[in-house]
This record gives sequence, structure tokens and C-alpha cells, in this order.
Amino acid sequence: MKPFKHVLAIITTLTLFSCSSDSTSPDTEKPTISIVKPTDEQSVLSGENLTIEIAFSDNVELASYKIEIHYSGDGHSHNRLNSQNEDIPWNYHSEGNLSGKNDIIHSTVQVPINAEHGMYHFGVYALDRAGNQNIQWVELDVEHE
Amino acid sequence: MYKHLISLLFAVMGYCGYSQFTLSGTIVDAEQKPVSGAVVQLGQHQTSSSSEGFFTISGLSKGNFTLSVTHINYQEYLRIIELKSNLHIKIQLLPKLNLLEEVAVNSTSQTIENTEKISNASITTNFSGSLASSLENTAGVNAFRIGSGAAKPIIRGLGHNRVAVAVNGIKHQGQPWGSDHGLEIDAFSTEEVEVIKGAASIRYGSDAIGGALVIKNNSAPQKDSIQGNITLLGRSVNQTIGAAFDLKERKNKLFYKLSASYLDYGDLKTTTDTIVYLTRNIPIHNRKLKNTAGMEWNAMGQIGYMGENYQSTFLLSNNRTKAGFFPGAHGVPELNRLQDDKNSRNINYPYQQVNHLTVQNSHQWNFSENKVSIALGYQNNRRQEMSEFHTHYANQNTPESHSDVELDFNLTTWSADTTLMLHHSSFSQTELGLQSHYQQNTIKGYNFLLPEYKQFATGMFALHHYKLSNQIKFNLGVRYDYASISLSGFYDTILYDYLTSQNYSQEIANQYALRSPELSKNFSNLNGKMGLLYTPDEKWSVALNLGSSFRTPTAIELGANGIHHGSFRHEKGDSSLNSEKGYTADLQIGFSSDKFRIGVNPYLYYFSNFIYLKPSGAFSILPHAGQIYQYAQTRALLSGGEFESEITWNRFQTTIIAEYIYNKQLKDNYPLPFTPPFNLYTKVNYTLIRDSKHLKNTEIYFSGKYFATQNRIAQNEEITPASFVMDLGFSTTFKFGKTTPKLILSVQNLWDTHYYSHTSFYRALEIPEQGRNIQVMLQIPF
Repeated sequence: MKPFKHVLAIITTLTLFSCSSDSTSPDTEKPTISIVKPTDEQSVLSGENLTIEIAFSDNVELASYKIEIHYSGDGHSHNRLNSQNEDIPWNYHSEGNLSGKNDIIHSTVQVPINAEHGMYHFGVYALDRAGNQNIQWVELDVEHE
Repeated sequence: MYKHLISLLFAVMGYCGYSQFTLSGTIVDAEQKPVSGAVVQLGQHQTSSSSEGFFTISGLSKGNFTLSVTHINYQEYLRIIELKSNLHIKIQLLPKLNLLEEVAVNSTSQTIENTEKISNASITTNFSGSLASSLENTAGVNAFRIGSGAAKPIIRGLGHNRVAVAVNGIKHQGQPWGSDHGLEIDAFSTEEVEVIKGAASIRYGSDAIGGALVIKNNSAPQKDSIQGNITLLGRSVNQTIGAAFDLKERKNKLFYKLSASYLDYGDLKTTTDTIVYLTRNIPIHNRKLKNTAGMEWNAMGQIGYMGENYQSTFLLSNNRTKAGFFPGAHGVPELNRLQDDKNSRNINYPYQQVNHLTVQNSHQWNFSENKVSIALGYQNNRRQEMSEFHTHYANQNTPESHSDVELDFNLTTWSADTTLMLHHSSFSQTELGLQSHYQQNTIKGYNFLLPEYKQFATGMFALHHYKLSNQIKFNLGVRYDYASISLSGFYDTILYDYLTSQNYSQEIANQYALRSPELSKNFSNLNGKMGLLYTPDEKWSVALNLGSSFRTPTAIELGANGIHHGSFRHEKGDSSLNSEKGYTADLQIGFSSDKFRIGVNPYLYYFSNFIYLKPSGAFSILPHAGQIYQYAQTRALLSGGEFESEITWNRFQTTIIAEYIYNKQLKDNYPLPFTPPFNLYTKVNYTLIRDSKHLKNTEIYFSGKYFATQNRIAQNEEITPASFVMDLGFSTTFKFGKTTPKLILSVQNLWDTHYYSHTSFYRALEIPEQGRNIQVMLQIPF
């Protein structure tokens, strides 16, 4: 039974080693994003100003955000050969820094007068200090008068 | 008291006074190839054959003994040995006439390396859509699943480019870096599968860090025989209909083998009506994942010559797969793309199709106990991803032709391997090898992901085996590898024009437009290993393996720059990456008796240079991209253990397997992604009828697999809740005269449990695992 005793000792050591908890567990919690404005499927006229309000929060510390607006058309088949008129799909992007555990972004963006009308994706990305990322999307309906 | 001691002393002296002889031998199969792990029993002595097929039993006295040699893939060999002096014999094992006659049990042979052999019967009866997923209930092995028809093996949490897959000794060269690619190998035509856990770098070179999956399907049939099988398969979870056929014939020295299989399946049935992804409710109509239908066909032909001192085979095989992608898996899920199309078998855009062609030619010469073998191989892997033309860049026009080919990769590999087996004595053998391959990748398609590249690699190794005594065997190995890769640069002028039109500076537009740099790089690696096996008696065994392993970085890790739709991220390569380097310590302790078997297997890996994707914290300016993930290197640690136990009592056989993995990269202590959590598998098998007039091997089983919550996650992974899933099965072999068809009925996920798998490609989309599956398989040998 002597080999068994040695074996048990080795297993116990390895188990204890692997079960040791880290004093500082790395942060894997994503920041939360709350898109207050625009609301989902909100309509906006081309040429008008779009109000943006987004609330962020994180368990440790927020780092940065990115807003992206792009044309989604009818199911993401961007077939360029179909474009007949003068309107062009609108592309908007902006980035900024965030700080603390809670932060809010307020801004306004002008929808170009020649923006192609239809459905757009309004997306927000957020990063926390540890690199955890979250994404949120709402749909935006750009119309002509 | 002294009287007893003196008589004991005389007895001992008397025993020692007898002459001691040694019986040694070589065990080979029908084609003179060595058989390792065969159990050799002589009277009360038991040992097992080494990787060269050698065994020795010493300390024997004169007399007659019954020698028995057994191995799961061969018929039992019995012989009466008359021992008058030291004797060396040669034993040839005959293959089991019908592979299906074996009991579907895995065997852990007493070899130094940590290997587990899985029979063809076990793979086909555990078939659950692909070869890799059929191996999931092997201790230490998990499958990285991509829907229902494709999976890749994970050994101890390490997968993709960290598990080497070899077919008949030649490394399988597909595109393993992708998370949505499976293993292009036919599960039905495999004859023997060996899982090597831990560093297997000496024989397999780069990528054998977690271990290796060694597949053999080129063995020669038994002399003067003709035999075949027809298999029919049906699976309810995705309405699979499948059939497989194989035929092999040998007349004296010449033989041929043919096999083919075909699988056709529809959309995968899951356990939910809606998925919540990015706070949006995504409907799953009829609980079926839209567009996950697919098909696969395989064909293989082999001819060979088996002479006394020369054997040669030529093999040609082709695997073709076509499988749809769930439309919600690429980019932001669009509700109108997920509408029910009322057809669960059609394969629409987006889908992938792969064709893998293999040509192998091998030769072997025997010179008394020495052997020389040469294996030449050619592989072509053509992978296409088809999707209706789409782009975010207004200035990119629809291609005039092939406007639906998004990605098209053509990977060709030529390989040549030579091995020399030198037999110095029955106690000492040396294996020498030289392996090289040349690989070329060309690309097409309207989207760019992977650059064109050329790669040349060569390695040479020496592995020395030594048997110190009946109780102690050890081996020592060393290997040197040289690899050189050259990537063709790719500059995306369309992207450059688009970005400058969006008012980005020329400098930034330039950075993003250089999708892959022109790069030439060499890698040199030296690795070694030491293994020891101690078997104090027939019941106990202790094996220790210490070794180093490596892998050269892939073209993507060195030169990527852009969105990888398979992982939904902007990935950026690093041309300064060095080879990944690991050090392993693996200990196996086993006890095996007639009715009871138990094994404990703790292990430890240390990586001095682990390549991983680090979230950079900087946003990509590309549409639909979050932050940039940068390939980087760091030190990492991986440890864990496996526990296996098998108890046979009357007609019951109980199997218990438990696995645990603990790992982290040492830069900022995050665990490694896609690490399987602690899991426990239990199976109870009951034999109803062993052998009767019309039935034999009639068995039923039920099994349960428990996965603990995986809350040790890397950044941007989800915590996967615990799950417990049960399976039920029934199998029997019928006896109709000379025909013995086998019927296997199984129900997987008996209770239609709603659960997630941490190692699933679709986990990130909150898609649960498949629902209840009722499977029927009929195997008819002829």
C-alpha cells in the first residue's frame, strides 16, 4: 500500500494547488448600455437633428464608447447596383471616453438631407477598463417629408 | 522463531538456485507492423508490448507455459511454450474478422505514453454527427461543436491548432484556425483511433501540444478473405438519413478496400422558441435553427501488396461537406432573414462547402527485426463560404462573376515522412524519423480574411525505448524542427478609398487597408521528452511523462488585420510572434483487476509563450466592429486531472469518468477561453442476453453527463450554467444463419433538456444545444 500513500499525497497537493482561489479575480463583467434616445424604431426625418442619450454603468470602471449608424436597408443585402436616386446611405461614427462606474452621453447629430431613406442600425459599443465589451442596437427609420 | 527464518532462508535460496530464463518476442499484425499495447500473459506473469511490439518476461524457470496475447483489435493468440533456455519468438496477430464483433469498450494499454485506443465499433455506436463528437466521452476529450454536423477535438481544453490530427501517420492539413470549421474525416471508415493526451511533439511535430488524434484506416485485411458492411442511419434531431458501405478483399499478397458514406440532414432542432441576443428577441420558428441543414459524402479506395519483407499501399479518399450557417451568426441578426422559409432541408445563403482530397502512398521494408518505412502524401483542402454579395463599402461593386463567393481558400500540402526502427536487443530499440511538408494557400472571393502563403517545414527525431526490467520501461526522445512561412501581402484599395471618403486621414486609412503584410519568417524548435512506466505487479501501473511541445504561429496570427466573421471580431496579427512553447508533466496511476479498473491522471502544463487574442481597448473604425483584438504572447498555466473507473459486476458494467481543468494566462490571470468546466460522466450498461439462438450481445444502457457551471471565463465570454443530460440506448446483434446484423437504438438528451455548452461556436449567440435525438443504426456485415 506504500505506493498508494505516495499517490494520494501527490493528488492532494495538485488538487490544493488547482483549487487555490485568486486574491483578485479578474473582471469579466461587461459594462451595461442603456440607449435612452433614440428609442427602438424611432422615426427621424432627413435634415433633422437626432438627439442621442445613452447611459453606461460598470462594476469596476468604464473606459470608452463608440456610436455607429449605418444603413441596413432590407436585410443587409447592400446591392449597390440598385441605387437609382441621388440619396446615399448615411454612415455615422463617433467615439469618446467614459469614466467612473456610471456615465451618460448626450449629443445631437444631424441626419444629412440626402440620406437614403429606410431602416438604419443605431449601435453603441462600450468598453470597461478590463477590456470587457458590450453592444446594443436599436433600429432607426429615416424618412423624407 | 529462528526455525521459521532458517526454513524461509532455505526456501529463498532454493528458489534462487533454479536457472532463470527469459522469454522475449515481437508482436506484429497481418502486415508486419508492430502492435503496441498487446497484453501478454504467461502463467502468472503479465506484461504488455511496447510501441515496437516488443515484450520480455524474465525470471522464468524451465517448463511448459500457456502464452496468451490479447488486444482489442485482434483475435486472441494462444500457444503452448516449452521453455528450456532463453527464447525469442515472433507472434503475428490476426485482425478480428468483423470489427463489429468487438464490444464497444475503450482500452487503456500499458504504454508509457498517455494514450487511449478507441475501436471503430465504439466510434460508430457513439456517432453523434461527426468523428470529434463521437469521442466526447473519452476522458480528457471534448468537442468544439459547430451546429450538428461539424466538430473539432479539444484535449484538456486545448483545441484548434493545439491538437495534431494524423491519418495513417500523415498530419491532416485543413484550415484548423477557424472556429466554424470541422474535421474533414469520415467517422465510418476509421479502423482505429488513438487519443494521445499531453505533448506528442516528438512524433508529430508542431501543433501536438494538447495531444494528438491518431487515426488509422489503411490496415490490410486478413489473408484470403472478402468482407464488407452496410450501415444505415437515421437521426431525428435533424432528420438525418445516412448510409455507409465498405468492402475489402485480399487474395494472398494483394488486397483492395473500398468505402463510401453519405449523410443528408435538415435544420437542427433545439430546445427554445426564442433567443435573447443583444437584448433583442430572435424567434426560432418550430424550434429549428434555420439554414443549419447540410450534407456530407465520403469515398475511399485503397490497394496494397503484403509481402514477407516488403509491404506497400496506395490510398485515395475524398470528403465533401456542404453545411448552412444560421443567418443570425454573421453580424447583427435581421428578423426578416430569420423568417420561417417553410423548408427545413434547403441550404441557402450563407453556407460553407469544403472538399478534402487525400492521396497517400506508403512503403515498408523489414530487415530481420529492423524496419524502414516511407509515407508520401498529397492533400488538397478547398473551402468556400458562399453568401449573397454584401459590403459596407459604397465603392465596392458586385463582382461580375461568382458574386456569391465570399471566401475561397485552396490549400495544398505535399508531405514525405521516413521512419527507421532499429532493434538493438529485446530490451532496447531506437526509432529515427525525418518528416517534411510543403504547403501552399491561394485565395479568391469578394471578402478578404486569410492571405496567400507558402510554408515549408521539416523535422527530425530520435526516440529511444529501453526496458530496464520486467517492472520498469522508459523512453527518451529529441526532435528538431525547422519551418519557414512566407505571406503574400494584401492591400485593400477599396477600403482605402472608402475610408478616405469618410474623412479618415490617409495614415489611418493606410493602416486599415494593409490587410496582410508581406512577411517571411523562420522558426527553429528543439524539443525533448522522457517517459517512464513502472508496473510493480499485474495490477498496478504508474507512468510519468515529461516533455516539451511547440507550435509555429499560423498565417492569421502573424498577419491578420480585419473582421473575422467567424468570431465576430476585428483581429490583428503580430508579425513578431515566436513559436508557442509548452512544457508538460503527466502522471498516470492505474489499478486494473478482473472486474475493476481505476485510473487517476493529474497533469500540469506551463507555456512560456502562449499565443492568445488580447482585447486592445481601442475601437476599430470598421463598421460592425467593436474593439480590436490583438494577437499577443504571454506565459500561461494549465493543470487538471482525469479520473476513470470501470466496475463489472454480474451483467452490469458501470463506467465513471470525471475531468477537471484549471488554466490561466499569467499576464493578467484571465482563464483561457473555451475551457470545458468540471464534468462527470456515468454510464451503466446491462447485458440482457450474452449469446442465445437468434440474439447475442443484447444490451441496454443509460448514461448521464453533468457539467458544472463554467464561471472561470475569459473576457467577453459568457458564464455557462450547469447542465445534466441523460442518454438511453439499446443494442443487439441478430443471428440469421451466417449474417449477423447489429441494431443500435439510442436516445440522446432523453428529457429534451435546455442547456448550453461552453465549447460551442454558437454559445456567443445564446443558442442552446440540440434537443432530444432518437437515433437508429443498422449495421449489416456480409
